[in-house]
Amino acid sequence: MIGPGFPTDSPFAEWCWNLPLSIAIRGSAWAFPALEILHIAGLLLVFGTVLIVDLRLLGRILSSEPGRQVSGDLMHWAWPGFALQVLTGPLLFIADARKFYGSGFFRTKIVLLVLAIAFHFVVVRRASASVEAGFSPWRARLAAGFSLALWVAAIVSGLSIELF
Amino acid sequence: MPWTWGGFSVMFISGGLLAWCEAGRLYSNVFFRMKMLFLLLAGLNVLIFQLTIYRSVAAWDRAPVTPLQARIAGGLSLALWLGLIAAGRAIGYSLDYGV
Repeated sequence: MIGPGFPTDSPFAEWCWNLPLSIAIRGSAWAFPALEILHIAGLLLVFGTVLIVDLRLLGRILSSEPGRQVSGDLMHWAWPGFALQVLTGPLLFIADARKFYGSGFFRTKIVLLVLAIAFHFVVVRRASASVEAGFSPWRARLAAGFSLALWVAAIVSGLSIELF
Repeated sequence: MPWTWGGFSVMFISGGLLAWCEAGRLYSNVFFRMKMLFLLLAGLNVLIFQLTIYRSVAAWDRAPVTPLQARIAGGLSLALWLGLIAAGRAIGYSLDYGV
């Protein structure tokens, strides 16, 4: 394990680990991989749409469209993806709670994810609403760059849980 | 499309190196073969789209309902990429379990 070593024998992690549902997921060869594939399919929808909204704010694509239009159209597709991730994520967590609870990368991922989502709703959406066609002010670009950095960092931390 | 090509180059180089390291185990892996098949079909789908209905894009670019051929290409593309990612993720698990 690379990264800070958190205790893995917490009562919370043990409680999750011993839930009938997590025992059932561990007992099936296909449940965990299938849940993870759904989790990644959800990520595709969320990050794919966020990427397009952020690239529009950066003024790199679709600059003839108002930011509001791009953001509004795409959020309809981000929500089902997010729902898929929120449903599958906790199931993945409880199934391997001892590992996830003790993983520094998992904790980093959750913090970055909360920051990225909060930043999206507090800053990126407002910035998108104010960006008119053919225009992308420097504040919108800064917000988009920061948003992309948060999302990429969250995804890299998430991948690192499995890799290290 | 410039963004797609940029991303594709990065994936092609890093994916090529990863596959090279594990070539022996990957070549016979059913999910790796499925992934490569989906990749090939996704590429063919884009090629056919570009060579056929996209040539008349100016005529339907602003239409509220796009031509059936374009919608088929879009749906196929989504399905193939989803299959590609599912197969790709399954490679890791099948190697772990020695399937």
